[in-house]
Amino acid sequence: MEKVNPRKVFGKTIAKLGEMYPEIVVLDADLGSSTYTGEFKKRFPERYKDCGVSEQDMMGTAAGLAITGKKPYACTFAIFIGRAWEQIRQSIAYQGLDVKIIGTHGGFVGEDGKSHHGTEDVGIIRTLPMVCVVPSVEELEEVLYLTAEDKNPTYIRLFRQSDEMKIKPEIKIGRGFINGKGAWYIKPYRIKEGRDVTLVSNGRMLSKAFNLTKELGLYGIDAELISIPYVKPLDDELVIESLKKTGKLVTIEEHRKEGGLGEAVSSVVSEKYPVKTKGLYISGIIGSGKCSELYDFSGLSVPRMKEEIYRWLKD
Amino acid sequence: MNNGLKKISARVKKNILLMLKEAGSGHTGGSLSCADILVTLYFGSDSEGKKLMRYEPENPFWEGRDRLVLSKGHAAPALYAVLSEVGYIPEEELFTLRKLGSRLQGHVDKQMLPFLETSTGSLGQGVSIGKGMALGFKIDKKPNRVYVVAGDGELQEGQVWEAARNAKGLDNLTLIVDYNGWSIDSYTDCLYPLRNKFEAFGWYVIGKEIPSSERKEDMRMDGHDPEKIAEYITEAKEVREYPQCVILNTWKGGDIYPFKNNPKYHGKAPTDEELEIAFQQLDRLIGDAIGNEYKRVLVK
Repeated sequence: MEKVNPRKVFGKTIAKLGEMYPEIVVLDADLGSSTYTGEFKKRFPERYKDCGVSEQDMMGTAAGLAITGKKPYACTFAIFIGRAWEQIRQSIAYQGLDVKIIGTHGGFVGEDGKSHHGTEDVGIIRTLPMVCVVPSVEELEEVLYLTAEDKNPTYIRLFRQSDEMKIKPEIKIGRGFINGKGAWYIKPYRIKEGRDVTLVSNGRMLSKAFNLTKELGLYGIDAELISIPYVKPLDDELVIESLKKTGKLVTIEEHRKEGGLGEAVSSVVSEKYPVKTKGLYISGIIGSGKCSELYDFSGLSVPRMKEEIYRWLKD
Repeated sequence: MNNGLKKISARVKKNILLMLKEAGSGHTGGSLSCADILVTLYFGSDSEGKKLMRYEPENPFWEGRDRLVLSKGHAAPALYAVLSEVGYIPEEELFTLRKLGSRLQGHVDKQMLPFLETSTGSLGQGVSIGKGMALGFKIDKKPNRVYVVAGDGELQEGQVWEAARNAKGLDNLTLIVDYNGWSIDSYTDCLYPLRNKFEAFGWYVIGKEIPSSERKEDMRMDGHDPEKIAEYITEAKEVREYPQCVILNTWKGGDIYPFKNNPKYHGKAPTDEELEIAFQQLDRLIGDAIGNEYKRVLVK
């Protein structure tokens, strides 16, 4: 597997999108060098605004821009969107405005520690009437193109670094609803077929889950893996279809249990096709360390996930 | 020039009180404190007779219009009553305020009433939204101006000062502060010196606040004087390079008893008796301003 920087992919793509959509305006909160919006700034200086260390004002400004017909991208770290949650709710989501919020550094940031880990962002966004996407690098570009075309308020969670699986996902577009309004999304897709247990994941945990399926194979466990980039709107069709075959569900995410992918999927599953379910997620308050160490500490490294799932299946 | 506004203003204030009475709840104090400001923005003129704000009474969606953001969204009744005078809202609809399914929500709601410029209600967010609109017009090199009407209480929100620091170069943005001296629980003197604060943040400031502790009951407040309001806004419109902050002193509850300067009416609807007292004053005001003929019409 190859290390990829999803933020660089975003930086390149947003500059391309800037050409296609003259209404795109990019806003930063003093983190342009980390969110990789530099190329856009260079090419469209009049459509780039650094709001300084002021996330609340950035969200309000984005709302005002959207009201005048612009398509603003407000970019900051995943952790700091929480600082402007009520602005996102009142000024953006409840008005159904075409604002894209980019939260880079989702999940563990590493050595910067607990003040900077983005471990609750999906939860706080999911409670709002807006699209919530956690793309892996495999479908990141497609997600950026699709969300640019879609007019719903949208949160896109990016990561500092990610592994690339080098698989070509079969992208199929679906149509769901956000607060009664149509919303485009990328349908969940199968990465590996299996018959014993269904794994679902997204973001950069997806590549780990992919490795996990190989490791589980060594234990004689044939796991199916499904990628769910769109946490909202959530398309449950493929998961339910898979569970009818395997009868067991494991959700894997780099987020707290509360409000994350696991809760979203298992709440649908418990209504439509209840099965034995296991959630793998971040718990406790995690401090500084290398990301690889933090994964292991939190039970999200491939060996620890393998042990956990093996034990759970034997129970 | 703007003397005729007193008539409209009195009608607006009466409607505000009637709407709130009918709803049985709502923000009397803050609605009455900004009523004269909103009336002057929509109906006032400069010394040459030119309208202060550009809009088309026949077409609320006209692209060339200036934008008004009522950041103190709890003063929604004042905005609704003024928009009824403009012709955008039928007068009888005013009395659906705060009722289930009504277009006139308790706080300003664009989802329900699309010709409003934005939803507000959670304090301190309007300056940023207005700023975003002003930036949008600048990018497109359009001449539209943005007026944000904010309460003094909401200026305690940190977001307002993020926005204040961030508004450089937006000379198409005018922030009008309805300085009535009260938040819910206390005076707003903690903001003093407000004028200096906005100046320090790079704004062109017109007017100066009178802190609550220095207010006397017989003082005439510029925020209830259409001539003064129009004069300040006219000055603001001529400013280039800088965003402008117009500080207008008002009374919470307007200049009408028993509401005047009484924080009790922040979030309370008037009773029948209070309505009667207020209407007598408003009738007298109109009598003074335009003679008895109109008074007779109104009484009838």
